[in-house]
Amino acid sequence: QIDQIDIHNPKTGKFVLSVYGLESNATVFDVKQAIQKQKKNLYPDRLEVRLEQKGKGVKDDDNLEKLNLKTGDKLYVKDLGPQIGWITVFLAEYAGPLVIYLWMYQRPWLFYGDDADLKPYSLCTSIAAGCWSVHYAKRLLETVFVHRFSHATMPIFNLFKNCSYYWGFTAYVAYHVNHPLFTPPCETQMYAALGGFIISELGNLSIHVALRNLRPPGTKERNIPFPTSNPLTALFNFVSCPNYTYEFGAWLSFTIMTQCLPAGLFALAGVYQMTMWALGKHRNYKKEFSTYPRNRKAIIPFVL
Amino acid sequence: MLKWDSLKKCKQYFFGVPGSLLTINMFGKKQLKRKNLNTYLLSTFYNMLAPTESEIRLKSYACFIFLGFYPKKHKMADFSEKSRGLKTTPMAPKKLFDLATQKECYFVFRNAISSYGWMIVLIQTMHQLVYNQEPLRDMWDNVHILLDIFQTLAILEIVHCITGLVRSNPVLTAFQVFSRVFVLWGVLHSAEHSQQSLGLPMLLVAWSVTEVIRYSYYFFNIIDLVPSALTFLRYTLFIGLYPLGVTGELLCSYAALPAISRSNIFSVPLPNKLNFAFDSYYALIVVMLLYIPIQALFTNLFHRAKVL
Repeated sequence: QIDQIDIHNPKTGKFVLSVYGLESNATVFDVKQAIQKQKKNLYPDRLEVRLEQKGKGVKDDDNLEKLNLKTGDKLYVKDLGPQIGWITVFLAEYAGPLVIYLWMYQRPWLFYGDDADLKPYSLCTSIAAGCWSVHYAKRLLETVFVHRFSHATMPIFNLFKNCSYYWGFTAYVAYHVNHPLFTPPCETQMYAALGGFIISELGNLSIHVALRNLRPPGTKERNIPFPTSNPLTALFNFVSCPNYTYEFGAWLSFTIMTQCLPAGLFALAGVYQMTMWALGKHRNYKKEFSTYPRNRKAIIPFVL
Repeated sequence: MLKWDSLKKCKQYFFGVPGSLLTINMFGKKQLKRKNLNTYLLSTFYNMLAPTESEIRLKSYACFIFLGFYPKKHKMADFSEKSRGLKTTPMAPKKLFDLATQKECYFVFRNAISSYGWMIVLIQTMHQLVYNQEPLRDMWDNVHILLDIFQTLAILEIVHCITGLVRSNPVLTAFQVFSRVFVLWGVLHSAEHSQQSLGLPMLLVAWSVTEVIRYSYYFFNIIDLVPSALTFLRYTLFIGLYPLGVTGELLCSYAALPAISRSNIFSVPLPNKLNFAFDSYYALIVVMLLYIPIQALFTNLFHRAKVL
């Protein structure tokens, strides 16, 4: 029985409130719920509990006794700000590109002037619209059916940041590819790149499915990923995050298929961000698993 | 701030070079036999400059005036008459050519020059506003040469951040410098209308006052002699100057819109091989609309990064 725990603000170090009457097998999550009872707007997802003022956050299911907490001890609890669910954010940021691209495919007068939709469409433009829609429809379906998320929420500011990025770039790329004066590359280049795009998308999907099967439902377990019977997952032998490698391949193919600089800039921005994430994940894998294969790179086989 | 102890010391400070020559004479030939001439000359000069520890700061300022640099962090060897016979090798001359000292010399000059330049821009702006019947008509002609030079010189700051000479976030400084350089070269140079708009004097006052205070603050910071009034001004005036500057920049951009849509400078039309289009007119409108939100976003992100 832990009678009292003092809660302090990690920014100022000052005392905020006390939590009473915790059971002996109480977890960090119980502490968060007790805080919410006293301050209604601080729901558990919004709080990060730390043992030291500038320490790392402890997990929700950690037992208080295992953390050596007794009556009268203090915990630092940080308010992470208003939160929004990951799934909500993903749906918003992926639905936007789908809708906006298909709207701009109609060549609205707002961007192109009147009668622009009467001008001929090249085959490349139509294929590009198809590829783009398939990509984002796939992402939406994966968010609902495939991905298993470690965290439930993220800060609400991220919604605006992510949506601006995706929706803004969609409008930018769509404007150029759907323009009446768009010049497609030669057919060989287009079809070769289309082939590359399809393989990359299938690869990306296979990796997501393989990662899903790595984690039993309802748990937050972490395991080392290995190739499965699907030949596209063979990339696991060479990189930690082959889903990002395939994603890079898909956007590179899209750029070559449309021969469009804005698409290239979008691919570059995405690759930069994914490389940062892949490097972080690679580092975490190596730290967490002592048996992690040494010959794997983060995102590009043999290189990075 | 500056304390003058006695008339004797005043004379010492103001007659530096002749003073050092005098001290050589005063010490006599016996000294010359014992030490190497170079170190001897430097040591006598330092002796003149820093006879006591409590006056080191004051002497450093005087050193700057006469020699053009201040070697800040050296421990000046004590060459006072008391210890004349006992010292072996002087520490000061060896540290004179140390990398940190050279860096400080460079920055002292760089900040002084920028500070003077922006001061002149400010004076020219004020002169036009006060004495000219139609200030907006002639403002650009009088100011643009120096403005171009000193605002473009600010690009050096990004180079300093990247090379590690200055410990500051290069992305943030790049953002700030480029926004100014864009307004100067992209907007003001391309449209005569913006050169005669009301925004120009607003922008000039805001930029020049901020830069004079900032560069002189850095200058005094290197020689460790910052007047508290300057610190106060630096952290207080920006509250009024920042909105003034943003308003001026937006007014100039707005005035430049018709000329830019007519001339289409920097625009890239379709069709082309890379399927890339750029329209300066719409780009400028987008920049104007996003101006304030982006500044807010960047300062917010910067503060978050600092706190986290």
